Amino acid sequence: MRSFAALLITLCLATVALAAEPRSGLQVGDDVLPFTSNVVTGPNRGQQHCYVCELKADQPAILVFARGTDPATAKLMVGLRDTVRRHAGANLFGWFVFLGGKSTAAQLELEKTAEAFTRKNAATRLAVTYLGDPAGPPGYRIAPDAVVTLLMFRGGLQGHVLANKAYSTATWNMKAAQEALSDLTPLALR
Amino acid sequence: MVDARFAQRGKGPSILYSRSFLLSLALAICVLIRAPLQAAPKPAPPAPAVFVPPSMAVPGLAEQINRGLWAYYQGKYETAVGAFQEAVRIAPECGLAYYELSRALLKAGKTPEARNASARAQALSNAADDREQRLIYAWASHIKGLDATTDAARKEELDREQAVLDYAIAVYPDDAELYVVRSESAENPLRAAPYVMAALSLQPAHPVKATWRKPAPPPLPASLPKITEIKLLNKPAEIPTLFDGLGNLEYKITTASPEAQKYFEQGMRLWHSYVQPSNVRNSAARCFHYATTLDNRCAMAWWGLSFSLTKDDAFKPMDAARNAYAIAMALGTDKEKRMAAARLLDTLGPTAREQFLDTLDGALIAYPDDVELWIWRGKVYGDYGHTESSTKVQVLAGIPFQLHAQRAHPEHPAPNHELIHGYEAIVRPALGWKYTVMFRRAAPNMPHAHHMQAHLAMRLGRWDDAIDATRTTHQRSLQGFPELSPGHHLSVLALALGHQGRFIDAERETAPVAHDISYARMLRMKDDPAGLATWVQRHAQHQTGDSVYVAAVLKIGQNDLAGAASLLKVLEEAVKNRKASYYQFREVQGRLLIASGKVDEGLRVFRETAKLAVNDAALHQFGGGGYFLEIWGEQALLCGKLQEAHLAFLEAMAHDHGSVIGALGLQVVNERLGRPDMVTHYAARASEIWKDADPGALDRQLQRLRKSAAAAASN
Repeated sequence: MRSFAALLITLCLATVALAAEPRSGLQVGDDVLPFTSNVVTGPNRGQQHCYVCELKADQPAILVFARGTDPATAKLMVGLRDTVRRHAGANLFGWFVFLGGKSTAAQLELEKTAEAFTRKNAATRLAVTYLGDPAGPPGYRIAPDAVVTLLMFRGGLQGHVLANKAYSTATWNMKAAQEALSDLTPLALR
Repeated sequence: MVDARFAQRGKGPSILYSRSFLLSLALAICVLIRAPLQAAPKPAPPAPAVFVPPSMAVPGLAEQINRGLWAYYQGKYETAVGAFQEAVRIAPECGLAYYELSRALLKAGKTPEARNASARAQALSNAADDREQRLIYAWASHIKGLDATTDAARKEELDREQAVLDYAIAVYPDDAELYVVRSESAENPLRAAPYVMAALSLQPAHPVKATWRKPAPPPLPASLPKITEIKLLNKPAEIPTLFDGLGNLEYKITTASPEAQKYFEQGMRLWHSYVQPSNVRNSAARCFHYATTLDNRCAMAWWGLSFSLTKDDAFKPMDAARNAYAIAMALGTDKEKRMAAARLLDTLGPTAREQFLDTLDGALIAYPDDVELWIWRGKVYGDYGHTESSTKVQVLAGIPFQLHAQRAHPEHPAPNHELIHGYEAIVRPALGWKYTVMFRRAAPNMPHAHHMQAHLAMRLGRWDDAIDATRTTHQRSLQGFPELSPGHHLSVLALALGHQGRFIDAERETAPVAHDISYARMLRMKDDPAGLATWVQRHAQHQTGDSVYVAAVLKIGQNDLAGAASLLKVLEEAVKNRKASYYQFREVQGRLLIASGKVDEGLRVFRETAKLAVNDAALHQFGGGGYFLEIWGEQALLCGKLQEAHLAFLEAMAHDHGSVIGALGLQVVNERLGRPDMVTHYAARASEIWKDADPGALDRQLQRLRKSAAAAASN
């Protein structure tokens, strides 16, 4: 009787946890889609650039859509920065896209915030861009309640999504940031 | 009340406290006694971190580089070398550390070692970030210039070094260190001074402050002749109107006439918005001209006039500049004398170029708070420089000055205006956007201030902003505010309203440009073949590349392939003679091939041309960012090539975030592919993009695309 109750509670908790994680972004097996966003770092800074379009065949990429600059997102950014550097031979493309509002004021603020956050985390070698569209790029379907969405794919426009992780405010924390990167990195480097 | 911390102490064993107290006391006495004997030097406090930290996150690296830079700017080059060597030891893969080491080594007189360090920095630059790479590349040119054997080669390397640094400042406009480094690449202390002043205004704590000696403003050039006679102008036939809201700009000049002061300031506002030719009503030229007649001893009115006249005017720019100089020398302030002298030298052309810059830089040093001098200094490169470099390089060189002017006076229209052009020229539209907002705010009644935002808005896919800006431009124009080309605004408005499905507004508001290609584009969006046929008939008497193109597209739609083929030949010739757009030719060619059954060849034409279109800045600037990709998608859909249509429509949305054809095309493709969730997604996108479109317009477009897809499926 006691073990049945424990099982029930575990199932309930698991259901709650699953329900809290939004379905966001391209799903595993989906084609990777082209899009442009405003570049904050790198030689294309200040341009609307399509990074997906220029990824090489078989090049692994971890793409993060983030809405905030909280400590967990900082941890993810630093972690991705170090992963890219540590595995330079794998040519892993690390990329953050900050999503925000469409208005001019919102976009100007988003640009400033994204740049300052990237500098603060010494991640100017990562590709960092912003998009004044809370729904993300066309076709990506970034869920409104997803504070962070991670996609791992390989080969740019010729590739498919190999992993997807998405987090709501309730599930996004330092531990989640650590785990997300730990889960995706081996896939990317395989 | 007893402090809890002290109260706690009292609870411990008192004997231990007293023993430790005695021990501490003894130790303190020993230290105090020994201190004067040994006088150990206090460790230097860490240098304040004023520099951008290196992109490589290695413990201790940022501190070493910071320490080295402080020493460097204090002239302690050996100390700097030591710090950078330590940085290199800590992070042997850090290109920035080698770059800094190279700079310090060169200053310390160790040229071969500096060369090696620079080479190492270049070798490691792949691991550096963009800012660091720009510094490393600029420095590599500097080092290469040391070995140049001819003046021309040395100049080439210097130009390259300066251009790379100017670019770095343009893309990292708040980075004081970049201005300081740029000052080091300047030809002489006078040329360097504006960069250092700009750096110190950005970051007053920068260590260069302690060692930089501001050069004394040079005396007025002795080479200029004494001018005793001036040529006067008669009163203009039409007295210009004074307007409000043309720009937040006030500039006190020497004049006895308050009216002349007003007309001078309005002339400046107009000059800064490029409304300057003498053949335009109320232009800068006319305002300055009138000011000279209100007070013919007002040197600055002549000075302003000299910028607004062209070689086609009877009264030449140099005539006005001579008058300005003669009067300023007799009656003007020191600043006016310098400005008038600089302008006269400027009109003398390339032979007096260096003297002109010396005089202008001298004025800038003497009056660093005068924003007009900074703007002028930036315009020297941007507008009418005499160098033989490309326009892009000239514009680039002006950006640091305009950035400083904008920071000092964000409400002034001119730096905002110049920076929009600057960022357009170097294809960084997102960096220019904020200046479009500021320009509109700074000159609310100036049509051109609103017009500038429209261009960038179309480029960035911000079509509603484009409509708002262009509509305001047109309204100001109708209200009589001065401007250059009212028709152009209506063309932009027709394009933008058509793009957003607002055909009723477009036809009502832009009828005067019904002959324009932008109007034809609007009619195409409206799916109005009868309107397009009328448009073609308008041009029957006088064919243009645009009219041949539209006629050819219509003929293909009517299945008159022979007629279209003959027009294609005309179009091809017109492209060769630069009288028609290459994209128009390729569109007709691709459409014709597909209509003739050569589907693969036709789609290849679209695919190949699309690659060009996405990287064509000029095409984006005039709202064509997604157009060619949309047509490619529509043609692929018509041929039943769903995967290709999918890619083309996605590309259209990628390069024009407001492409409704892209969104609707993707909706239709996904309908065909049986992906209901994606259909809903793209339908929502299309509705959002055309939220203000005419009633039924969205559905008509959708049905048109569905019809194409259905026709392909039935074949």
